[in-house]
Amino acid sequence: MRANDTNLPANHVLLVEDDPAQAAKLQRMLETDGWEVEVAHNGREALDVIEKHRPDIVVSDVMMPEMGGHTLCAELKKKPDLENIPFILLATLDDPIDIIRGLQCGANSFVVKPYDENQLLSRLRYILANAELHRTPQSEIGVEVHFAGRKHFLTSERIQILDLLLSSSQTTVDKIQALEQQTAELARALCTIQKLQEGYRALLDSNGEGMLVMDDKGAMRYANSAARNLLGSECTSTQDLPLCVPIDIHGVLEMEVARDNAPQAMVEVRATNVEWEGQAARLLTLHDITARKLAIEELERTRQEQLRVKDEFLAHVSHELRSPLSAVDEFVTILLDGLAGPISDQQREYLEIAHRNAGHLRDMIEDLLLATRARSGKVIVEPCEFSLASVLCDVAEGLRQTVTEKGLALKCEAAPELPAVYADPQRVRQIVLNLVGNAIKFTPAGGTITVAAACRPENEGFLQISVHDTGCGICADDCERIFDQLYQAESTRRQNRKGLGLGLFISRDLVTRQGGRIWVDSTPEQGTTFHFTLPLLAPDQILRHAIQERLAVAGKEQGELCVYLFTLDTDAISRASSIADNGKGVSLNDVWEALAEKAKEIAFHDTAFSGSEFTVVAVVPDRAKIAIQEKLRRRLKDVLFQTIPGAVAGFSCGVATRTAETAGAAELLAAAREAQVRERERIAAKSIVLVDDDSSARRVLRVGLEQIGMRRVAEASGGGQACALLEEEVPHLMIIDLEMPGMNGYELIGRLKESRRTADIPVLVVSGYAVKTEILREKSPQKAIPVLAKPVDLDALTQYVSYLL
Amino acid sequence: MKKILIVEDDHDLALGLSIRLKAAGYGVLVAQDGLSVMTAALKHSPDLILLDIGIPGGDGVVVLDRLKHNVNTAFLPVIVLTGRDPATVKEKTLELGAVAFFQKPADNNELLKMIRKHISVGEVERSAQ
Repeated sequence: MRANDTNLPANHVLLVEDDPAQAAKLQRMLETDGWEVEVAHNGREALDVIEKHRPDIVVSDVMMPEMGGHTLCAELKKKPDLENIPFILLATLDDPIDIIRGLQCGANSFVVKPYDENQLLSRLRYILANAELHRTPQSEIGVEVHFAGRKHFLTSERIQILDLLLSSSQTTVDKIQALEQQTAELARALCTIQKLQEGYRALLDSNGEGMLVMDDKGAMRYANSAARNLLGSECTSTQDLPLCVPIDIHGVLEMEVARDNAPQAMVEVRATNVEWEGQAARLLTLHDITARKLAIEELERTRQEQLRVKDEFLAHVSHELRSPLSAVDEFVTILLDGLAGPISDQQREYLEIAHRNAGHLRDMIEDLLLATRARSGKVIVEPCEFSLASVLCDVAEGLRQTVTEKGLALKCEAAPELPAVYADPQRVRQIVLNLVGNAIKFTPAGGTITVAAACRPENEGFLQISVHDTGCGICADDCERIFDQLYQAESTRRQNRKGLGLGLFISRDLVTRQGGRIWVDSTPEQGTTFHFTLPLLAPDQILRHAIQERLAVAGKEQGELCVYLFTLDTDAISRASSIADNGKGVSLNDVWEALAEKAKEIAFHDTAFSGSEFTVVAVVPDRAKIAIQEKLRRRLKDVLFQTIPGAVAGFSCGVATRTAETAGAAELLAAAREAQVRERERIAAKSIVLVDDDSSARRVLRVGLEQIGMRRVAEASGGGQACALLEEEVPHLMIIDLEMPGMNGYELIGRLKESRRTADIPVLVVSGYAVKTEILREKSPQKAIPVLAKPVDLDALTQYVSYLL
Repeated sequence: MKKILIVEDDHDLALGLSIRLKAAGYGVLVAQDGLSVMTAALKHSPDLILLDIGIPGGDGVVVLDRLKHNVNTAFLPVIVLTGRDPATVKEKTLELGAVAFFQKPADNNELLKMIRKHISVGEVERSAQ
């Protein structure tokens, strides 16, 4: 029922509300309902309005500036002419103090905020309709209530209190309703979450990708079936995992899975942070890429196979082309040389054209053959010591005619006093011919080509050869690629398609095979300079130098490790073995050469060995004769032998360690270092007895032995004392001086050999006098005794000691 | 006149070589397969053998080995002249006792120089015997 349904004048309501938005909203609502509304923005303003317009009813907010709802009500109720205007407080009523204050101020009724529209309107109507009931009788009956530690005196009427109680119970009911509603909503949300979680699990369980959850301690919390299939079903904890997953994975990681009963798999691992059953965890996704990897490997194998077939085919073709071409060349030359009768000038001219072109064809075929051999590593280089200047001048001389015909100048700047290089003169000629040939091709008439050779401080131990031209130059991008097989610079292709594009590829192969390197400097439109280096010394000389240096250093730095690395490849060792088989005996030099070649290869081609850290280890395949190993071991200080697996025999003669045949340089080095440490430990643990009447000689020997780590060195000043020492302990080695008062060295050795307990002690003799070898042989007929002359060379001493131990 | 035995299965190349060697004043014999080399060497006692490796009737390496193991031919200087990859045969043939190794196509002047050197060497050795 609307307030103005009856034809009575509209009821007049005063709205006291400081918030304009709230005020406007209430006003509109009341006006829609047919009330005549007036608005005041605080208690003070409201008092004025009430005085002037006497509204039928006042609806007031509690909290307002200047004068709040409570004060306004109290003020109103004080005025006898106004006290009967019903006063409704809009209160939250959620604080008992609020209720008490409301009652104290004498408000007629309360509407709980936030209010329901219909409730408010019906309350207004009810109060107006029952205005008589609310008319305030001046009863003085008061009650005192205690609340929150304070006394409050209430004089409210029953109707007021009832009204209030109803209002606040209404609030409670409302709140309970709201709570019930919220609880229902929560239950629904929980249900949704549970469904989502089930979906999430189902998603994980059924996912084709392997899914693992690991907590922050690395324990496995969950694995889906794909993951279990991938990793093996027995995996229950991360300890069992056949792959090692780092805690922090950023991006994608490719990892190997080493399974017990299945072939190795490859997975791509991704990780994200998740919360798993209330704990922080990592969700790992494992994507099986084994098939892809296998396919790639297979492709690579096929590609290598195809390359091999291509190379073989090219080698075969060029080889087959050579024979008929040789015949053409041969017979043209026979005609030209007049061996088949005289020829006319015109015939000669034409034959020369044929000859020249046959020559071009032959050069191209040779290049092709060489390139295929370079790819398969079959190019032979036969180095020797020679003077470079003559080769350079020869090449320049040979090309002089071509150069002059093209209108170019060719200068050769190689001083005759240059040191000799160690290289293959034929191959060097080939390289220089290639480079000068290129220079001629790309230098326009009037230009100059300079061939120079010099020793440069930045390439110590090498001679640098440079071929400079004033040609069109090479752009920076091309500079990096011109040494590649078949690569021709764009400008080359445009200008001149002559040649196969193999020259620089072959040149680089030949240079590196001889231990040098090749590079290019170029400025487009100004010219190009190719440089290459050749070693000044033979590899064994280089190695000897290096070893001498290292020995000098090792001598100075006590306790420093000194490792030399040799490798003996199967070819070198079989060569050495076949020499041994042929009964000529193995000359140590032969083996040394083979070692040196290989060591140089490592030193030159492997960056791990460049620089000051020159380290040599002998890698001896098991086919090697034990005799060779023994000889090497005797010859070289600190040499370690490494053998490929299966070489059990090697250990018997002092092989220190073994690595796989395919071990890289760094691996070898590490193994060698480790082996050397072990070797030192092995030697350090051995006991030794020095027998010499000269105490200063003993001291020298002791120092030498302590340098290689030996700590158990006992001394005896004569044969008698030595025998007494032997009673206590049998040493691992005895070093015996021969000439001593009392029991001399010969007698002592005889004693040692007589007793079974001491017969096998290795003996090293040191002597300042001529050794009576026949007596020694008589005393020790089974075993030759090595002899070192005094003063003892410490290097030789340590070498023998480590050999005898 | 000094005689040279050419072992070469390619008729054209054998002819070319023959012309060359004849022009240089040598007598020339040609064997085209491994089997006839021994017969020719024993029958005609050449002063030098120019040996190709890729020949029918026994590989040149085998022929060389046989020559070196027969007292009647062991002293004969053998120059290997082949189109084969030197990586595979050079060392082997020199080890077996060949005096020089040339790869085809050989430089005629170098080849003639080598022939002259070894024929005179053979002369000295034989006269010493």
